[in-house]
Amino acid sequence: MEWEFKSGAPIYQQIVLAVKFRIANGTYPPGSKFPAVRELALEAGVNPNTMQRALAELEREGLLMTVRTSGRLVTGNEERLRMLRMELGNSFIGDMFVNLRRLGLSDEEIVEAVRSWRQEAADRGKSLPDEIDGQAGTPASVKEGQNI
Amino acid sequence: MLGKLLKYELKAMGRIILPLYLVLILASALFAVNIKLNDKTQSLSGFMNIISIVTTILFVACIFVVVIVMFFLVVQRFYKNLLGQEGYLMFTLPASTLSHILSKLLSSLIWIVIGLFAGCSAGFLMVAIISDMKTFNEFISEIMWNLDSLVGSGSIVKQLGMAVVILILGIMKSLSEIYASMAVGHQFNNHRGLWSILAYIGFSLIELGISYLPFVKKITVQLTEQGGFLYNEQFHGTFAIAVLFSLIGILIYGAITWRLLDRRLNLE
Amino acid sequence: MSIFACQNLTKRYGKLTALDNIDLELESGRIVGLLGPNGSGKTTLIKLANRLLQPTSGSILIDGKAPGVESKKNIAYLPDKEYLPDWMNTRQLMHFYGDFYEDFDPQRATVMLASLDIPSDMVLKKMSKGTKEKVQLILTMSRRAKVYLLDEPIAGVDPAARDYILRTIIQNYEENSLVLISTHLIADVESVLDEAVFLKQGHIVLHKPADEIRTETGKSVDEYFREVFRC
Repeated sequence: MEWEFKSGAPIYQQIVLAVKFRIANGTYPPGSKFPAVRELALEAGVNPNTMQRALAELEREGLLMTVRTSGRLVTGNEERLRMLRMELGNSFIGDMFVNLRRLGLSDEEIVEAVRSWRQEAADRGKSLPDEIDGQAGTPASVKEGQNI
Repeated sequence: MLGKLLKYELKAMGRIILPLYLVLILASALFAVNIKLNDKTQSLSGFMNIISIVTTILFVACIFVVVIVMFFLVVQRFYKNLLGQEGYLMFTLPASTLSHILSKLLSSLIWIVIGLFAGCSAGFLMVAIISDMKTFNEFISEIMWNLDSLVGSGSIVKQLGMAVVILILGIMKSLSEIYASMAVGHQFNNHRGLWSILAYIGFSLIELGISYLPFVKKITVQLTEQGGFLYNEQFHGTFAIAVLFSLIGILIYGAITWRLLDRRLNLE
Repeated sequence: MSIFACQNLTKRYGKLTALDNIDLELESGRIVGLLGPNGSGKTTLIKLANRLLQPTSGSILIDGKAPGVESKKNIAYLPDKEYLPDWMNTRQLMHFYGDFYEDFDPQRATVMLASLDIPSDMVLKKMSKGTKEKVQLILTMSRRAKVYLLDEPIAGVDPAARDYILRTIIQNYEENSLVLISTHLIADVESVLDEAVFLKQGHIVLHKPADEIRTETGKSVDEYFREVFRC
């Protein structure tokens, strides 16, 4: 599993985001045991303090929990996970709007374009691609550190 | 720490010099055996066969090699291990500068003494192989008489002891003079080897000069005369001179080496 | 109290000033990058900490002690040179380290050497440059020291070895140790750094947490470094 870090944003923030995606897409399943700081830092090639900071942030946001004897667990709370998926999903959607607006489309035109794209794909019997450019996750806006 | 440093130093030098000592002893034994075997013929032409030539050359060569290698080893251990890149390892060990210098000094001293001992043993062995009883006894007496004049009459143990003391102190002085020269040479940024040699020459000249100073000459004369103020039955002037000279030399060269290595180290 | 503290530290070589009144305080549990171009004084600072050099003025204290026999017990130093006796093999080198350093962990060293398939009876002289460097790193990082001083640990090293070295540094991280990495190759190490110290011509021009640099400048530490040190 590759961890990729970009230049402009603090690494701990990028880690928070990467872990959020991995929780959302099931790489770290709900309720499962979360890897130890040192192990994850090693895997990601980052300073353990930086990793610790990121994980502490995720704990603060309720996505990870420290259990006294067993280390960290991913939350099993369905509601919280649903909110996470929405949060991440909205950033993709936000990205899409930003990009299409740049092409001159109005918001209504964008919604219409989404509908017809979906229809066209269904007509051609194609299944939706799971990946864009080989990367499952991290929308462009988040990569560049912009906020919608 | 000194003990540990000394242990490694003895190993580092021993791996080079010990095999050479063994080869020397072997060569001298071969040389002596060959002479003994040719003794029977009693003629020069009998001696001049190929084996005799080979054993003789081997024997002489071994002596030269041992002496030269020992000298280079002493210099190389100090230079390479302390002043070269290995210095980055040695001087960051939790050991004092003094213990580093002493470990080199003592290791060199020990291996030289072992060498001399091995050499003497080989020599005695050779004489024992070659000669008969009478010649051997004459040989021993000759040595005793020479010792007498050097350290004064007294028990043989005391005589040997005094000879050993002079020898050891003398070796230590020479070693510390070499180390001090290298420490001085290290102070320069270029041509450190050359500066070390110049420093050595400089030190030797200074020593020579001091021995010619009027007040030094006076002390020397007084001590070596039979009626000198330090003379008594138990004590001989030559011994006193040798010991004094060596001790002062060791202290001064040691201080120079220590000061330069401890305060003015500049590895690169 | 800081584990690494310089106060008005100055080192001059004749007319050349290598370090000019340096004030620096570093805490344990951090991995700090000492970053600067060649000749900026990084190696001089490390040599002063090791007592390979004496200050012209000012002080440097490691765990409250001036550089000396006691402080050397707590410092694990990796120079950017081949500094080990090349006639020894890895087993002998491990004994050497174990003999002189109480905090040397032979098991850790054995595991690391084995993972790289470096035989214990191989003489250093017979090893390739890359393998020698790994052996030096392994010996240094197998010490449980309070301060690790790594001088250009990844310079002149292939990318796979570079990864190995950085992973080893991360793996060895202890809360009561400081790791100081001196390098001019910032891009490769920056993800591992807690703090960055920029050293320019003997002066400290910056000392900040790495993430703070990224937040404040919107650049990577490497990019910001290039800006600060532009010729």
